[in-house]
Amino acid sequence: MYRIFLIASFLISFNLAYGHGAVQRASELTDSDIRLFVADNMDGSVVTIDFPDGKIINRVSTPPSIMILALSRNKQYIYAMRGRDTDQDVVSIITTGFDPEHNQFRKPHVLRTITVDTPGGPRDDKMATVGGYDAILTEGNAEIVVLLSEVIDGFSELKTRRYKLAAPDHYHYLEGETYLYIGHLFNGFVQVLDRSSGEEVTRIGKCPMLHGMTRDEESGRLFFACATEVVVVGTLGEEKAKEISRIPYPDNTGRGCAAFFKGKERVQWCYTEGIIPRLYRLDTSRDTYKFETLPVEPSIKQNTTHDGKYLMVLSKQGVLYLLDGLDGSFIREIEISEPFLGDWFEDVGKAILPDIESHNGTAYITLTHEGRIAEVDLEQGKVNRYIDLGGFPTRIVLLSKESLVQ
Amino acid sequence: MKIKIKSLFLTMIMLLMGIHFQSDVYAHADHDKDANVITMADIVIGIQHYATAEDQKHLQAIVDSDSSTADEKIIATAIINIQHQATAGDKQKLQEIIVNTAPTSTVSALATIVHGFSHGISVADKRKLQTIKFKG
Repeated sequence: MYRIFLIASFLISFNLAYGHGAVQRASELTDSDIRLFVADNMDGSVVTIDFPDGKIINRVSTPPSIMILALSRNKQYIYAMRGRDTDQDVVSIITTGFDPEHNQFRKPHVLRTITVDTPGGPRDDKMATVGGYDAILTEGNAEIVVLLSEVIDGFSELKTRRYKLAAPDHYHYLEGETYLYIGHLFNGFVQVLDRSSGEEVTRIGKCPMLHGMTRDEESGRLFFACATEVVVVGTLGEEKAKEISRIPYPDNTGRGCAAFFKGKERVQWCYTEGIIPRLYRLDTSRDTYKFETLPVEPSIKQNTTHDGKYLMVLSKQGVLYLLDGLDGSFIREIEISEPFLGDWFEDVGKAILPDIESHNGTAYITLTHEGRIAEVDLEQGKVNRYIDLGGFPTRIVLLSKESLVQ
Repeated sequence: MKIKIKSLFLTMIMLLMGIHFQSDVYAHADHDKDANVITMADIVIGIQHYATAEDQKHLQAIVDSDSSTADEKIIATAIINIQHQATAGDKQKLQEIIVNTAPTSTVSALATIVHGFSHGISVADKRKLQTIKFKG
């Protein structure tokens, strides 16, 4: 009897153990040169694609209707900010997946999702910063929320510092040496705050419908685009927080700047949102600032390469025009996709427009209407391949490994 | 009294300027969302051989609405009449729309898809209609 009981006990024990047996833990580390994060606004997910393989690594689910996708200052996190098509605004913070210990990438995942009132602030796919920390400008309750935590995880308290802004508005923000410069679109002024005290230093006004801004690194001057002209504001020395000049837009062009791209040397390119047949050129190295006009095909998206060598203009017909980043002269055209049907006006509900990012002569273009990404060899003037995502891919953040490895 | 009229006048001018500049900021304006085309695109995506009674109700509303364009009314009527495919008469009218509108317009795309409807639509056409819905 005892022996039967013993054998039965053994059998039961082994049986129980099957469900918890040891397994081989497979490494998820992958080696890649480029990691793309793409907002797919079919369902509000962030798709990660690694290159040179062009392999889709994963899809991270975030709340729908992504408006902004931005990289953190330390390149460890991606912020996905929701648009305003519902009554709850959230920001999801996602890991980039880079593992500095192994110098390779893991699969990204959401660290936390926080509720904020109408988030904004990023520029050129990068988070706004205050004193080197990521910051979210909350447009509904007029604040700059600075995230002071070096490491963001799911457990730790998120330490913040808050700056009160003049009024709820749509902001266009740049940080100076010691001051913060916050353009207010509807209120039409640039509010200048002291970074240390948070106190208001001054307001630079008479800038109706302020939308878009850029910085000339050499002079430290900021350029805020208003409805009828661009206001130039100094940030260094005697010029600090002072209006330097105003640059009128070219006559008879109808519209002003909405966003800027840095070209070759100190040339800045700007365009007006909407489908337009022109770009503006501004050489910030000149003593007297003056806009010039560059006629282009009606375009749906524009960008420059990071070295400013090329100005890339994606036309509504689905053709990528490659222009010289210094003078805008035509270099070549590359057929990318079918035409974009109908009007493509992006409001603040969610991102719908295609995006262009590039690295070392290769451009990546989201073709929202075709549900895929084109990888384009800019030097050879050809599409290397398409990567099908399905859905509606819009915003891109490009993270190169060489920018992570010290 | 004079002061009140002057204040009223100034307020009106400021309001008009505000409305003017508001529409200038394309990225933040509430644009016309092409509602009829989106409604029809949504219906055509789901049609199996013919439009359902519920679909027909929505399409008839487009036909009856004063705010619908002539092209939208023709397309809506053609969808109502679909029996596995569009009628010969509707195809002729759709062809006129295709010829007379820009090939990259959503109306032209929708007319082309309804013109070529055969029991259902192709995957490529479905994608086009889904994109029209997505972008608004």
